[in-house]
Amino acid sequence: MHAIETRSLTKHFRSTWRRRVVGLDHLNFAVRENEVYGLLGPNGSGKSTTLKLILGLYRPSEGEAEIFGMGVERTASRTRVGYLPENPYFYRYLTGEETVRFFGRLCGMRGRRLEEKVAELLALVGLEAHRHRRLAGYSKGMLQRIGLAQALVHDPRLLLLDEPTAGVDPIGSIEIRDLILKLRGMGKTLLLCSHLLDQVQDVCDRIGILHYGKMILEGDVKDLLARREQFQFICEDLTDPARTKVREAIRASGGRIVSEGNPATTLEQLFLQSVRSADRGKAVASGATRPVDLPTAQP
Amino acid sequence: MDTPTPRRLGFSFGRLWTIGRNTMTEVIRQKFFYILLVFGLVVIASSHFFAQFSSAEQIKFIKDFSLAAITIFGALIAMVGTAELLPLELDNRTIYPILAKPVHRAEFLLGKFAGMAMLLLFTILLMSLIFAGLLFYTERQLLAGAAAAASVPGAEVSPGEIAAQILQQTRDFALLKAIFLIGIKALIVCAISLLISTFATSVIFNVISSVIIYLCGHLEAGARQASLGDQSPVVRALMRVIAFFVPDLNAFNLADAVVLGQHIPLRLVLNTAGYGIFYAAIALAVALVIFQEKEI
Repeated sequence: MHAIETRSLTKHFRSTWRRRVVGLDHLNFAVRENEVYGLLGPNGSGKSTTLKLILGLYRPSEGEAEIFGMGVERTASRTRVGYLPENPYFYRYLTGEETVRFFGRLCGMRGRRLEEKVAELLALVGLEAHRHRRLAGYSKGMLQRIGLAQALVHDPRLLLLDEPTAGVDPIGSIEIRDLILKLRGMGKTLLLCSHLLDQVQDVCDRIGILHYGKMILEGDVKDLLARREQFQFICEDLTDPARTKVREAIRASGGRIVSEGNPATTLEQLFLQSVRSADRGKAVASGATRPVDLPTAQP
Repeated sequence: MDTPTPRRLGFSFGRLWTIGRNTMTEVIRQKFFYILLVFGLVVIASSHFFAQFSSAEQIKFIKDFSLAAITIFGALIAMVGTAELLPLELDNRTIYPILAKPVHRAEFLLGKFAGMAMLLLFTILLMSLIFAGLLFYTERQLLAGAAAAASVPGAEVSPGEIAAQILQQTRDFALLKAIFLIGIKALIVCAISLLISTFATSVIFNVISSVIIYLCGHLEAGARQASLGDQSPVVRALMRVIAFFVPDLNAFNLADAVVLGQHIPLRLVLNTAGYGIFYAAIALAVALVIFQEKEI
């Protein structure tokens, strides 16, 4: 059984003058259990429409969608789904703790079980220190993290994340990426919509690219990105004579060197290293930043 | 082990209550609510200073003025507060994470109504307490005045008679009946406004429509008469539509009868309340049908 399966899922909208606009065009795709699936595409390609159809917020014009084998038109299908909307807006007058508690109650949780879950999730997303602060005072990154906490409150097997790092600074963005990896490690299935392709590449097992409401490419990230006709070594402490020998060996075996040089670090790593060294030995100044260790940049 | 997903999810009053309680907090935090509530309380309290008549007329004036103030401010809070409920949820996108949870749309909409209804109950109760306090204060003042007047040698009316007259007017059970029906009327307004907000595109449109329906509701009895009269067929048809769709809100107005000291049978009050609850239930049912199909 798939976590998500759509069959010929189609959505039409009516524009001004009642013209029909195709939002999603006979979409067929499936998300397997315990995988991270990245749904990519330019603005207006149908990513958010797909999520809203899966969540029952829109009704399909044609076709159907299922969550763990149950039609999405049933409210019960959402007992196993957690959703983080793009730029999440919650009630600004509630504190972080009250927000998670509110969503927990909506999922039928009460008493000690709910209180334990609230504490556990606030710890998971690193907001324990800000649990009594109103959301009106939260930064964008903190809102995303509280959004993740509310999405996880009923311990769903499937998480739908719409642009989870939109507007978040690089450190917050990496933290959310690490959280996604942690959640996959906990056995969750994730469907992720994002514009940040590097991040999708880092965390997704499979991707699908939507364009004008149609799936134009789908497959395993590694398969899609691998260039099997090429190979690269990254070496340390290689002397000039050794380099010459390697070149000669490649040529002698019939290979061709396409490029060589010093690999550059990524801007992300440079940014993290700079911030980390500036923070070293200092207390973190703002409550909006993390009181915990900075995340580790992926190589 | 993972528990299996239930095939059906029943209606939950727990979820409805959670949404209702949050709706109350949401409306209480809005400025318009304080402004209307404070203004309503001030208007009720001020009736004491306007009334400078004889004792009987002073009590009548306070009753009339205060019941009118409770009616108007209750209806205004119901209209403005309810009109904003759904548009705010949609504009702020706070509705997405809620409906993405296992929450029926009926629970959400009825939760919003329940929250607003609880707030109206609280508001009307608060205004009624101020009214009761004012009535009690006036009663004490008048009783003291009457006692002083009766102690003058040659007074025509005994102090006991005056006191009985004053107490009969101030401690009138009919006042509770009138306030009860004001509450039911506010609930009808709330249901109508919620119904409009399921399809209206703007809050202003909703408030204006609610005000028009409210005014038409007070002219409903006249419309019913006119629909049977000898006006042009168009006017008669229009009056028939108004008489059919708009509730007779005048039926909920017991202020005149209370002020005049008329007897108000309990059966009449209960029948009128039943009519109001039935009308509100119909409005909510239509709102649910529309909201169920609405694309969020």
